[in-house]
Amino acid sequence: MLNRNFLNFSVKLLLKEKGDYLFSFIIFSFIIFIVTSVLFISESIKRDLLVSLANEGQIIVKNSKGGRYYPIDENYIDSILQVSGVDDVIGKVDGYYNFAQDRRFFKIAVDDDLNDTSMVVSSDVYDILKEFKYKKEFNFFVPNNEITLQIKEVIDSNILSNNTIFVNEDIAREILQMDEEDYSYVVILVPNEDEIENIALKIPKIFPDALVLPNYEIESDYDNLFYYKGGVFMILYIVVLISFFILLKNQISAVYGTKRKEIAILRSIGFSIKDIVLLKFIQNNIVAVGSYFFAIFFSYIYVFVLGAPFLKDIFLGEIESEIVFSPILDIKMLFLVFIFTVIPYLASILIPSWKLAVEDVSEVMK
Amino acid sequence: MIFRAIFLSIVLMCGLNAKMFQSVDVSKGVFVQHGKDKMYCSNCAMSLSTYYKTNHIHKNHQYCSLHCLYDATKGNIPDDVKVVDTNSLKFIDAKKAYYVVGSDKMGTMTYNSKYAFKSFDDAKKFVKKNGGKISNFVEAYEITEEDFLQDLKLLQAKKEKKTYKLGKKLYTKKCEKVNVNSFETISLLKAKLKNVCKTRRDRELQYVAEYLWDVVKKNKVLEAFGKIEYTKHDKCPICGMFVYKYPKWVAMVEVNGKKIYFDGAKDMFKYVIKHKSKIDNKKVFVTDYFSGKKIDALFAHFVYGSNVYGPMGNEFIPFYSEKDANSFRKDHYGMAVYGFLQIIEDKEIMQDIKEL
Repeated sequence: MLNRNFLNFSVKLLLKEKGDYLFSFIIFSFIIFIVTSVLFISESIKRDLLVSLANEGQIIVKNSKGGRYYPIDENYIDSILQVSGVDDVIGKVDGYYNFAQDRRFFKIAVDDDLNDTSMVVSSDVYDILKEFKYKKEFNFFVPNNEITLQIKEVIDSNILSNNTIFVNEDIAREILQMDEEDYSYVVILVPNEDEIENIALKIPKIFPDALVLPNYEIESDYDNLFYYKGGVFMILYIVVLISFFILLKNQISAVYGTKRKEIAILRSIGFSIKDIVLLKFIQNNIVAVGSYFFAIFFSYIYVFVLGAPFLKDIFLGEIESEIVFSPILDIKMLFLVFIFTVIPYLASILIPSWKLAVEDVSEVMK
Repeated sequence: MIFRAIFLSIVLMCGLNAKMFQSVDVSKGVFVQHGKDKMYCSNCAMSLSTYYKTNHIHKNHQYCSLHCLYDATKGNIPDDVKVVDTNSLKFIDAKKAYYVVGSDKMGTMTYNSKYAFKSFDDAKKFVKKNGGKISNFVEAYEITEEDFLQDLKLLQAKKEKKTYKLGKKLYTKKCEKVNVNSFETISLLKAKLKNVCKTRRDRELQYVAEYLWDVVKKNKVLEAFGKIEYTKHDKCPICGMFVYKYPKWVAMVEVNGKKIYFDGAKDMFKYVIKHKSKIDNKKVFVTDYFSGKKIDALFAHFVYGSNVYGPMGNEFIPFYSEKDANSFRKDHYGMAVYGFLQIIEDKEIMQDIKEL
């Protein structure tokens, strides 16, 4: 029975009751919009963090003394290099510079492509520097010294580059007051991932003070931070779910109420049960799938083009409001949303429609 | 602006002084050598000022450590040796000095540090604070001799894992090309590199110098051979499994120019034993378990009976270095470490692995 005339008829029937369907369309879109926006943001942040983690080695080792972080020296690198299974150990320098004028800390990170007189800053740092009239250069005040660097470039701040100043390693050591033999932490490259755990266990035996962080531990930390089955996320989903069920309830009662007669009439003019289910399927598909894509499109624009105003503050707090999310489209996640929204929505219409269609027509018309 | 730049550069130069226990400011030390390489150790080219407190002088050559002096004198206890007094930083006669061996302070090129003192009291004070044992020059020299091979192994491991790789990278990225063969000593090479490389860090210069000296000049063969290359269609002839699914375990045999792949050393051994007459043992390759690199099976060390399983269950797990194989055996409860020929010739080993 599926032909052009039938499709035309379905759409005409749909347009006849625009008001009803428009209401469902808007509510349904809004629900999906909220869910996907939140998921887009959390996935984007998580992806950025994981990408940066993948660029690091397999194990990160930090030094501590009395429970506080302490620089790690060349001796550690030499000793860890001797452990079987370790391919390389690389010392890294990073830390925070106290920008006393504004009572805040800037993160200092190393980019060895820079020369001794230039630096790269993230856009949020640049905005703060501009307020203090540092438009082209900036003076770092360290004990007994002042280091002046030109601002070579301003980069977008994402979750990683946010609040960061990039300088070369020598300058970073100067700013952070670190000796040549000292590092903030070291990363260990382990080519065989099966051995990561084993090596991570060996290091505290050589250096009992060392804090050893294998990459799988950090990964699970990130996962926990943006775990969408727990905490704030759960509350959000419950609210969305409840409103979704209210919508479904509304749909079902509409079918049993006003649409009841409509189905009976269609039956009496010769529509088969199959045709009626198909008709309802086409109509509601237009509403559900249409609003699904409509909502995803808008949430993509909202998050990745407009930078998710309001929602971002919930995630990151107002201080980090300059952050730009790197766009990603996780098909798996969108499919999951589809399964949990579009399918129940269609079911909530089709099952009662079918139930009515199989009832005795004369009974309903009475 | 110019003043600022000058000021900055002065500050940076000062900041370069490493703060290791051995290190002193260049102005405070005594350096007896002449020429462009006067600030570098005659034996290994390391910076003399960075490791000043372990410096030794012998026949107008200044060495960074007792380790280098031992290397240069080839084990014959030399007569006219001077050593730095750790407290006054002046050179004194080594035979009259008191050496503190094995203190908590880091040593130079050794894990058993040795520091010299002019007076017995100074040495005693040092021992009280940092531990160690007081001895004389000859004893210290003999301890160096005992530790020499061990220290050399550790230094070599560092060179293979880090120095050569980083040295090569820095040389291509930051240095103008130099003709390595025109330099008589590594210290002269390093002095030249100081002028042509865009780095101020002494350690980086050292990496480049050691890379050029050992690898380019002396053609030292590096451990890394790359990986065994295979396609998605290569199957193991013994078990019929695709090898690309198990990149950590791939083994390869070249027979008459044809490459045959295996999904583990065990299957490779089965094949090699079966076709003994056709196969050249030098053309058998396995994948090093730790690094994932291609290594000659003939020189590999195979750990047998460990708790790590390959795609076909119990495996002979291949390692390039004996130290790695032994360390793996300890960690993973391995039963034994075998060589390639041992496994081929001893039928019982193959029988045993079947029964495990």
